[in-house]
Amino acid sequence: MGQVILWAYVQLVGLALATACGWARRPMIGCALGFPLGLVAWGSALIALLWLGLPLVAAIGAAAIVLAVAAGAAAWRRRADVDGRALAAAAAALAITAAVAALATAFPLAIVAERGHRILLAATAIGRNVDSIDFIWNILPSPPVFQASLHAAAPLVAGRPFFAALSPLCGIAAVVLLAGGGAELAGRGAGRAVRALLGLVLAAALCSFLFAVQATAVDLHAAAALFVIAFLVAHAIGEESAAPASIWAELLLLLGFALQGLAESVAASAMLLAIYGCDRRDPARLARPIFLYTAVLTAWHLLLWEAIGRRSLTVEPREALALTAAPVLAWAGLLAGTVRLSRPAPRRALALAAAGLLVVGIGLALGWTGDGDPGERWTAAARWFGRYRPGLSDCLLLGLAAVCVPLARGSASAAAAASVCILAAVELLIDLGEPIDPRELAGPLRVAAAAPALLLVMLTGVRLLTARRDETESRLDSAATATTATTATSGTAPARVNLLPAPRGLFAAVVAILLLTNVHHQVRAHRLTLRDARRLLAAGPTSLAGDERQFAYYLMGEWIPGATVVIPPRLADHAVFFRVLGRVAVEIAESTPRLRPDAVAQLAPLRAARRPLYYHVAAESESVYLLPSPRSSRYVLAEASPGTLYLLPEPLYFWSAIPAPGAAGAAR
Amino acid sequence: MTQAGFFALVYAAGLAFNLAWGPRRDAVLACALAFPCGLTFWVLGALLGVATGLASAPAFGLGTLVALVVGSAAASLRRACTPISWTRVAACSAAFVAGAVLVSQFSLAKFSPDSHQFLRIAAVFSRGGRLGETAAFLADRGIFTFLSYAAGELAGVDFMFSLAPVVGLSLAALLAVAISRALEREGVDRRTRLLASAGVTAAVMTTYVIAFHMVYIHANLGSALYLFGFGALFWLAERDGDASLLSPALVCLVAFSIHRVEAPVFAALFAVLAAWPSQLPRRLLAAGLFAFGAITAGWLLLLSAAIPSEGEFLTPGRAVLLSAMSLAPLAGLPLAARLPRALVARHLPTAVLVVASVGLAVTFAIKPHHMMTSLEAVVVNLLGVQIGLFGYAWWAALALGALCLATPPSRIARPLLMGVAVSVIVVVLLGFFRVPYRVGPADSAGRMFIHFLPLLYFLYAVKLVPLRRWRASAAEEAG
Repeated sequence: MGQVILWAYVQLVGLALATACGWARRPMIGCALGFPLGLVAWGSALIALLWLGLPLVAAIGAAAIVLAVAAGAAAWRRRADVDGRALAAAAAALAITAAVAALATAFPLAIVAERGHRILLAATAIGRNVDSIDFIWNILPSPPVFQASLHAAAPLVAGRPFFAALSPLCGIAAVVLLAGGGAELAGRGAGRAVRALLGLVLAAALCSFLFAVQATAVDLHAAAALFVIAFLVAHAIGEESAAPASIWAELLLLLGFALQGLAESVAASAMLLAIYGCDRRDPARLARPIFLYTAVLTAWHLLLWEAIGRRSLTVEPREALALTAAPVLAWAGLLAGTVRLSRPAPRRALALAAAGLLVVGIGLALGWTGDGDPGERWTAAARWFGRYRPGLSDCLLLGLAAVCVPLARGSASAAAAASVCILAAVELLIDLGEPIDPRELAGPLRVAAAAPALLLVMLTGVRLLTARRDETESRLDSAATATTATTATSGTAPARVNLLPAPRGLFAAVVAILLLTNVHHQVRAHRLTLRDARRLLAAGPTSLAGDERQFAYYLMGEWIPGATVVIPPRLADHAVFFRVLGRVAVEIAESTPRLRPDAVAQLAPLRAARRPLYYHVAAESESVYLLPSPRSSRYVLAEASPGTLYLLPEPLYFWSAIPAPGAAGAAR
Repeated sequence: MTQAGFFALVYAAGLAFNLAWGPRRDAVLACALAFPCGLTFWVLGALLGVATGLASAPAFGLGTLVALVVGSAAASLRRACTPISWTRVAACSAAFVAGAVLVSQFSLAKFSPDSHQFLRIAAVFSRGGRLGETAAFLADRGIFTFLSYAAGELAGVDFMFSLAPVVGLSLAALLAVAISRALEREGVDRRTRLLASAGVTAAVMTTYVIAFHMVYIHANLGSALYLFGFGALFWLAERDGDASLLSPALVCLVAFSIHRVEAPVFAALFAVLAAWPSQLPRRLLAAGLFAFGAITAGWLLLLSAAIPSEGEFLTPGRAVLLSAMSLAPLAGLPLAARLPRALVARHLPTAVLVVASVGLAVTFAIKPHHMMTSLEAVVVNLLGVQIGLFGYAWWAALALGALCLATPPSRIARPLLMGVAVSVIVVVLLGFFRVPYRVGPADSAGRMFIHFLPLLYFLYAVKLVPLRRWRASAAEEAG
């Protein structure tokens, strides 16, 4: 029951966020976007709170409250958009989510493969409040922190080792988005043919090995595919309807995709960001959302970079640094590319550029000679395709997508084509230098690439069947033409698009990143000291009476009444401490005394009686040690190592070096 | 007397001073400055005791605090026409006392061999130690920290284990209040002011090395507090021509200059950059710089007669040189007054930067390997994230510095920002005169960079937060 409530809650938060982003005017798509939006909000909040050091129970509670308040407050401002239709759709979405969650809980079909086990191991570590990130770094070469954090709550919330309903919910949400988004994008005039095609696509999606299998596996693929398809649909429809607030939803979904993996999803999301930023009709509106997105991802990777640097595991620090720079570079490229553009960059050119990148990626991955013979790599690739048995539906999908890329027309199709190319290219580039493993049927991005491939096939099919020019593109082109004409008529230069936030915004972002990394470092250091039983805040006695001081210079006179300290010339400055603090007699030797050859043997039994001299209040050892001897009242101050002083009985030294009492120089 | 009682006494004396000669109208700022100023007067009094040998350092310090309270009360009566918000004074004072009592309940102190030396010398001074017998230790450490910890005997504890936390809290409070006040003068709305002051304060104070120094017994956090106090107060005074802020600013400068052996170099640098192009009354500036020069140079000359002739850090010759540098800001003030103010403001920071850069180049030419070793250590300590000292604080500072270059220059912030830049060069340059700097938390250069961080972020905040856009519109420029 706990699982059902949790996912219904996530759906509810997502619906509130979708409403806040203006999606209540399109209730069907808004409700379909609700689950991914709620999921990324829930996962991000949980990760942030766990990373800041909150125990799991507190993190879950805090995330639930914060999200409910924030999403509710954000949605309240757009309450005018909510009508009876939207409410009915939201109720239906909630009911479907609850039903799917209940079914998946009652009849778990979960597949837990190798990576699934590692995710659950990490989730267990987080659930037991181990220093989670360190632990994850130790056991996972490429940690799906997002998934692990989600599943960590399962024992507490559902009393089960993991959430069996998570992947099915992601898969079904993706299919619903495909169907609903495809219907919206195909246009109302598509009629029966469109509906028939949608049915085919749905069947293909459900039968696809890459999709259906992963929709039951404990892994990150279903969620990655969901976020990609949700982003694509939100972007295409948002662009068509020119809804400015949908930018926030798009970037939230892209952030969800980026957080799924460590390397490939970040690189792919950065490229998607650049492509879609340039593709926007109104790039100026992107400034704040993209900047926030970049800041969050940068902070996240700076933290990861710090952790990687300490561990030196699979991902090298320089690679992580490059990944850290990826979103920043994408943002900078976007800035440079759009700052002088008064209309969207040609989408087909972007799609072709992405396809070119894919070709280069394939070439590099297969022809890379860094680790071996290129011929062997080509053979391995052929073997991979030979052993690839995903089924007819997958082959059909891949083939159709490959055909559809050059046929792509219109904003949504071009976006889907570009996404397929980018995701596949990044997957290949990430594998650069390593032979393709024939057993590796589903890399993190290959499943994600299937989602836009489905969308692409569907939209291209609709276009061919209806033989209509994409209305969206037409509208966009006419809008761009109108803008150009207006500009030419007025005779003024096109308005410069300023994507750079104000200095104040940049300052706030830098300070926020600094604060976040500082707090993370402090919390981590504190947890490490707790592990070693060394608390940062070591409570001790608050004060001591004067006679309880255990301080070498103070107690020398008390421990050894009538003691005399002989100080070699090099340490003569210390005389003042014995004289003023210990009130013992002090003599400055004329030359440096030398230990007798047999002194070591005599020192051994004395070591047991060593008196460390420390401040009781701080449990802090002084750097002066006394080795008392019952037969001696004269002690020589000797430096064992820089800063560490020993008071040793005088008989251990050559007598010739020690002046007779009273004959030495006066104490300073 | 307990530690908390001692802190309260110091605070009360500092508050009395600020209400009499400081920002009387701004009660919150006066309260934020109270403890730093009070502690400075305690140390100056104790220093008089050490130098004259007439009585123990605590006796002189205590006498100074009492005299300060009485004198300030008398002076306050003469300024009675200026209203004071006693409600705010009471609230801030209650907050300070509560904080002081709280941190006095826990032993948070962290030690190193340096800390032990600080406490040993402090204990000697608290028992009537004289300059002559401790001079060897004063050649490599500033006197301020020794004397501030010398109150342990008076407070009835082994050592003042809560002094570092109270200094840290004072820095946090002063940072937050100063940023808020500066942004208020720049016309920033209240919400943004609160967010900016809270955010910057939290970001600076959670930097690992600064947070550690809030419990670590050493001199660096105090240096940071006083350098920041001087810079921020001078900025505020210069912004509105408010001369009442000059007194606490110069008290902070004096305190900073006796914190470390090499501190007079930086104090003189900031004094020159701030005071020479200043639009504040020359007479007041001259009086303040005279007090700064007299105290710092006097102490250094006294020290030059007592310290050993050979040493790695302060030698008699270097002490005389530093005392001359301490007098330089005062000596050059008449010359600067004869030149056009705009000329001084525009070219002085650049000239200082050029001189420091040339000096650095010369040191690299003479000892290339030595200086490269030092420079590498400094760079790793500042920017090495894995070392964990500053985290991303200096990376962020570099990014914000680049951002500042893209924004219109600020007349008041520019000399101080340039002061920080020159200080960075001087820190590297000082490595020429000693063994090379090394990588690690104990390195002197790495710790010295703590001094500049609060001031740097303050200057960034006051420069960048008021900018809502990159360029003013034509209407704004015309207006």
